[in-house]
Amino acid sequence: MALHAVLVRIRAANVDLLLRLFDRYVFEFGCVEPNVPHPAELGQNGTEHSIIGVAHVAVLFAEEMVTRVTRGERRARPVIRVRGVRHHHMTRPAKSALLGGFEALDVARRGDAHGKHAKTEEKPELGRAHEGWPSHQIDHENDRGRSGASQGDEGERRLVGYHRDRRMRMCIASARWTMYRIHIVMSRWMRGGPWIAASLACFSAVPARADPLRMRADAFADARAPAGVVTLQGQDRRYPWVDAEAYVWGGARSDVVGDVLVLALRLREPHGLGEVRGGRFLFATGAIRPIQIDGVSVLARAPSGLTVEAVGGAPVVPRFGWRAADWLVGGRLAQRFASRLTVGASYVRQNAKEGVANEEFGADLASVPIDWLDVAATGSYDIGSKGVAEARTSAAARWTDWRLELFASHRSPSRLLPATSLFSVLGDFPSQVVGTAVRWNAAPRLDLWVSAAGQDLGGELGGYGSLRSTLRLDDRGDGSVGVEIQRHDIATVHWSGVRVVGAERLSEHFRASSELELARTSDDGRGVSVWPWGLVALTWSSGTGWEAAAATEAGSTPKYRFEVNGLVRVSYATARVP
Amino acid sequence: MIGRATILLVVIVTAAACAGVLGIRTQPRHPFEHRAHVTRGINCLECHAGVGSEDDPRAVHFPSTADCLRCHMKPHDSRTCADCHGESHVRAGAQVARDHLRFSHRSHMPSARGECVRCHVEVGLAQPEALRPKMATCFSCHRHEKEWMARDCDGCHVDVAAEETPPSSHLVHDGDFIREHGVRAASVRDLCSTCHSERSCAACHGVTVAALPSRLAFDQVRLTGLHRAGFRSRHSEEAHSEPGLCTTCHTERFCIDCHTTSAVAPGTATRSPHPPGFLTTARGGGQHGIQARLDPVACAGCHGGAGEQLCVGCHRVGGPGGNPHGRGFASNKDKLRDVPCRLCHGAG
Repeated sequence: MALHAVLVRIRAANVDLLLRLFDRYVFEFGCVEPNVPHPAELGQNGTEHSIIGVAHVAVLFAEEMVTRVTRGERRARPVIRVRGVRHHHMTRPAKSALLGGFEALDVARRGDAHGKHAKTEEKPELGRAHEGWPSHQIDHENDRGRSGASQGDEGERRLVGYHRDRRMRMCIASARWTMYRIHIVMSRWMRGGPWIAASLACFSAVPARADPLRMRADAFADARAPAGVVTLQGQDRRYPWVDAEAYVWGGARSDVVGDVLVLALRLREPHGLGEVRGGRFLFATGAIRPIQIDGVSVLARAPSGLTVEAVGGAPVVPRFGWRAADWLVGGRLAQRFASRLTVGASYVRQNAKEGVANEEFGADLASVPIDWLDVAATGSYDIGSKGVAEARTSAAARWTDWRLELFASHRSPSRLLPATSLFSVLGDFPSQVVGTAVRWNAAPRLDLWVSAAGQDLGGELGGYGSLRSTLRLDDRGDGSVGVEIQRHDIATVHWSGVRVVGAERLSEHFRASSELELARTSDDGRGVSVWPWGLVALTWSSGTGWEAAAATEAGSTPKYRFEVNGLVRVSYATARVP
Repeated sequence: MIGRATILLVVIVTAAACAGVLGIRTQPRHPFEHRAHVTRGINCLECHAGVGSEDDPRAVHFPSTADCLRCHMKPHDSRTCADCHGESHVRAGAQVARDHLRFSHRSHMPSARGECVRCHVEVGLAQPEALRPKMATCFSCHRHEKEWMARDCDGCHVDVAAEETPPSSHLVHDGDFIREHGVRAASVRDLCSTCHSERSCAACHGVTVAALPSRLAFDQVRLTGLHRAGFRSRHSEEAHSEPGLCTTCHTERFCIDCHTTSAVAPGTATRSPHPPGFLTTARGGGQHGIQARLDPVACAGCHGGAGEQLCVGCHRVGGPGGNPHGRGFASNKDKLRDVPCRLCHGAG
């Protein structure tokens, strides 16, 4: 969804005569085109852009805005200020309105709930009477219009709110409004031609064709275990139905062997109606936990929002191992409802030589019941030992500077083990967690996170909490300092930790960073242990794809009283577009 | 009372002193005076020559000092104009756009009919934040419904992942990503795949990852990824505090494999990993039964496979260990034939 009224199309030739009567008022808006799909799963987040709802527009003029500049001409007009911003599901709370001086009123038109080609609704909400009002009074006035937001049809509610407002009725009744309507009718046909022409020009543009070949190689040298990773990705715009990807690790020691993590070919239906993946890849969907397999997955989407997925193959065995008797099948059926709700059901069965290792039925849900709230949940039921293996839920509410999340989980470890393990018969002693997490953008450069949770671990009560803050040293975030504090107390686990990080750009090509951690553990029967750890790193980037980083880390571990390690990473990344 | 006032004063002074650091009081800005130029009727192309007839699609069309001197014949300073006029982040933004977007000014010129402000809307503002049009501006003309359905961003974005400009508050990325992303992504794998490819998942969840992304990006200290910093020292505590969580990525054999190569496994370790009194011959057998119920995954980590015989020795039917089945145990397996039931029940 986007505001099409990028131009307040003031054409002196055809509006000045009428607008002169309105003194410095300009009312003409283009259409607001709420056209970006907005799946429920995006929550109220997505792009960084503000979305402007169709508005009762107008009325406060804040500053002059240049609306048209061609050679030798000048068209500068007062800018209409529209109050309130309504966010598309894809957007985050807007930091600034699209037009800078513009803001859009939080009003949608009846009938445009699906957001297609909504037209401008030219209804001044705040009339001249508001000119010169303090901003908080104007906000209050608009808040009154939004007060009924929680009930009934959105458009209906707003219309009711609109008519309820005495000030607005006065505004509508004004002669200016009548004149304005006349002007709108007169000018509508005049702008139709150019708009159509512009649209045709835009949509007749030939899309760029390219053959992106992406490659990234990282050589990662750890004094303990040197390794390297290569990523290759190929796509072809001329053949959008196929792409391939490889992600390969190489190791230089016996304990860090090379392996192929991803080697997959994907065939896609160009319109997004389906795809087939084959090779080695990671399969995770719905309540099916991530599993790396050598196999094939098929996905089909229907325009109605129905999605069907199926997978079959052999779970990957580490270090190029092979177990002929291992196989896995699974699938998921999901349906999306009105961009607000997605529900799915899944099934997976994994066999091993010893028999059925895992057989689960799962369900998942994602919903955006209110624009500022999104909810997600998954749960899996172990068919073999009859019980809930794992369930998780999270509900997050977001405002401009705040984010509040409530979460809960239920995890039965004996059911997460393969059913062929002897330790899967120990019964149901689940770990259950309920907690909350809050993020607060306390200052433009300061973010705070606080998390606290209570836990029931097989009847033992406990909990954990953490506090994290990050202060960016400049607006771009090139430099930052941060502190994190944690405390865990549950059953036999008691530990605290503090971590301090700092990073700063030294020059255009160099960046320095440092990290310190101190963990204090108290294990039953063992007393207290303190584990310090620190790292100092220097990074160089060429700006042409090359990057190198070197670091020294030192610390004390349960194995070594004192340990020093050197780390080096050399990377090269490229994306070639002929 | 004086003490409180003093403290309050100190807090206020400190806050005021830190205002700049916190971003509350920002540094004075010097955006280029676009507005002053355009309100005088100076066409954009007079300074940004070549925009409409560009041959080099990667050019950013910034005017040089020579371009300025065509009108400003008596400059007040001998330095390069761009040193003071204009902001580096605006230029950087334009360069990023050039590097990562497929865009041609020339193809848009006919539609815009010379009205650059139609897209570069902030040109008209006295204090513009960015002159690069926002994506919403593109969507005012280009719908891209099919591309959205196909999760195909390549028409405009060279490489969304490499662009590294995800929305700052995108979905779960601003919360506790490690904990949240699983439940959030469960229903929306398609959505994730808009920006993330297979390797994004496999980099952590792959069973043979040599180094996690957080380890690979050791210099990105702001990351809060899994197994960060001195994780090796506290991994035991972290694993025990969330039993079963490790199985999201690791098989139950992972513990013993790693401990064996690290020479801290049974037979190689210098000390027992179990606390005193963990296993006794007294009634109840010490703490091991309780610990096994709380975290059976930890037991399987070392005693899985052939190591299970260690348990069977006592817990077989008729053995001294008694019935190990705890509350809520149910199974549809054949206890005489299926694994693992037959280990105890079928030994006969």
